[in-house]
Amino acid sequence: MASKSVVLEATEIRLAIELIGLGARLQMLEAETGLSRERLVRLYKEIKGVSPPKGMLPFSVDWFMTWLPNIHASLFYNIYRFLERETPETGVRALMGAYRLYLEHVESGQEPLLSFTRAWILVRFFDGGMLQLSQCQKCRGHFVARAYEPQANFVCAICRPPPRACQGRAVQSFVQPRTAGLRPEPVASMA
Amino acid sequence: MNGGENLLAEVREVNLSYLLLAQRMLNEDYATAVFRLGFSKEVADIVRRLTLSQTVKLASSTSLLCRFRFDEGALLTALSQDALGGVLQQAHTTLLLASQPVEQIG
Repeated sequence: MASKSVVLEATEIRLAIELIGLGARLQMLEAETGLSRERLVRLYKEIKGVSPPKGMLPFSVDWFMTWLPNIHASLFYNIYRFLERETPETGVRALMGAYRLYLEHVESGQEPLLSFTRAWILVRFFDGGMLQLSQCQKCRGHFVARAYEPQANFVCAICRPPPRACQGRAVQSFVQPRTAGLRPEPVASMA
Repeated sequence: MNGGENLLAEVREVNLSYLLLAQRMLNEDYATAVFRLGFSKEVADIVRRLTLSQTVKLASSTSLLCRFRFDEGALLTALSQDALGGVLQQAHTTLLLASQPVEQIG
């Protein structure tokens, strides 16, 4: 790595800082930047003040199939797909842009149900052909589903919530509508 | 005061506000703006490059320049029905708009 371009490295560090700010785990940083693990750990500590969490990533398709996570994941992935398709942003840039747009739907100060690293894994699952988007027969929206699942009578998690869907959890996980035309009150700055 | 004239003036005003807002959004954060506006790349680039006089000229139309983005009955029905007391509505709206075709030329 001795002859690495300084400019390139600066760009990668900037990218890593942005990714860490959004909540990226170490594995994601390693995959998306060309920086060494050691440097990334140092960078992480410097920004977050703590060591990066150890352990495996939440690597399961099942999580995306449960009711509320499915809605969050579908919202994020639709935005991501739009950015990939219609704008010059691609790859990790589209991922960051889409995640920021997704965060607008999460109450500020709340931990987003779909973490940034999970969003990244979601995109990788799609790239790997493990997931597909199924179209809801009622609202015509596209929702995350297992690959090769029959789509004929698919109805989404919003149009047909499970009988014991917890409204309270749904309320907490999404920002509540503000009346159009009214500016939100200034919120105290978040840590 | 002529009510009809007033309405037309308001249409022009909305047109101008719309174009100016779109331009500001596109200059600030291009990709996010394209998403919020539902533009295609071509439309976005043309709107962004309009000169002030072109913008004003375009805005002086007495027809609205911005279009209603839900052009399917099913979509609108889904959104206006309250699932779970409407707590998911905002997310649902964004999700549906994201999978809609964008404003195209030609």
